Amino acid sequence: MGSLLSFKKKFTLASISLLGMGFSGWQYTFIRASELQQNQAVVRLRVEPVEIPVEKTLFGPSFPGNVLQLPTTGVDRLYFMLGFGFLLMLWLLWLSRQTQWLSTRKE
Amino acid sequence: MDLRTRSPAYVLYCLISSCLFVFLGYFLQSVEAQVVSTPIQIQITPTTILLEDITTPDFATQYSQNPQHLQSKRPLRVRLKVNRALNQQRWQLQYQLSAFKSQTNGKTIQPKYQIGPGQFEALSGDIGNTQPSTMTGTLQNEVPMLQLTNLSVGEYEYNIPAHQIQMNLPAAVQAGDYTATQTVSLISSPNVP
Repeated sequence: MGSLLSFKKKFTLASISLLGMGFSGWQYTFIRASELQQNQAVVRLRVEPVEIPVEKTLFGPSFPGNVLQLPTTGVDRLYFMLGFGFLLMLWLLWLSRQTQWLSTRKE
Repeated sequence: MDLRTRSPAYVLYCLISSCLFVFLGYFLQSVEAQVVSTPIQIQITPTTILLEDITTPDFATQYSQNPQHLQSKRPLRVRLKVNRALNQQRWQLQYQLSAFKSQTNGKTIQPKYQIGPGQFEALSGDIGNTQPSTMTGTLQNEVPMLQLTNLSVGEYEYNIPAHQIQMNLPAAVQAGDYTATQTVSLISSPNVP
């Protein structure tokens, strides 16, 4: 009575076992070797609107609007000038009454 | 035995005692358990390699009808801390930058980039074999930034100077503040080419 399995069968079983062990080991190595680290951050981009260049000369053609930030173009400027002139006239009239500058009465 | 002839207190007493017996029986049954305690040991080991102190590029521009070629005002820096020697182990640093999205109107911009290559320096430790890459395109998917092999224990820094970080912005982008997400990944796997 020898062993129940022949040498050929034993060899085949041993080979299959070794292959299985090897596959498991390879798989373990694969899983172990896969490592990952991540870092996330926010990147910013600012797109600014284009600035229209404004003449900032003190006594330029649009004085005093460019200095005082008053209306300097078109109808707005016309209204501004008329209003300013009217106020100036009122002030001069008041001043003349106060000082009797335009008075014809002789003292 | 006729319950109708008994006093209500007696009937109540009988009911309560029956309930108690049932409850006690259930309780006695339920304590038939075995407790086996097995000690478990947990060992927390530091990660082989750590990503630290990562900066982001910084872009700003004015509205233009034409496409613009922008340059970052800040370098892109990645610091690595290696806790164990990486002998014969290949690592890869990967980079990804999502599309820029406006915080006000929700519009997105997809620029194209040309980033790198940068310089890899050792703050402490010996530099192994490194291979920096130039990253081009939209960078919406992860692209290789740097290949690392055979690093020793120490601290390292990969620095891409500001002038090496360039972005092509499409024409007529609406003015506003946009944000994108930068993802830096460090991966070690047999699949790393």
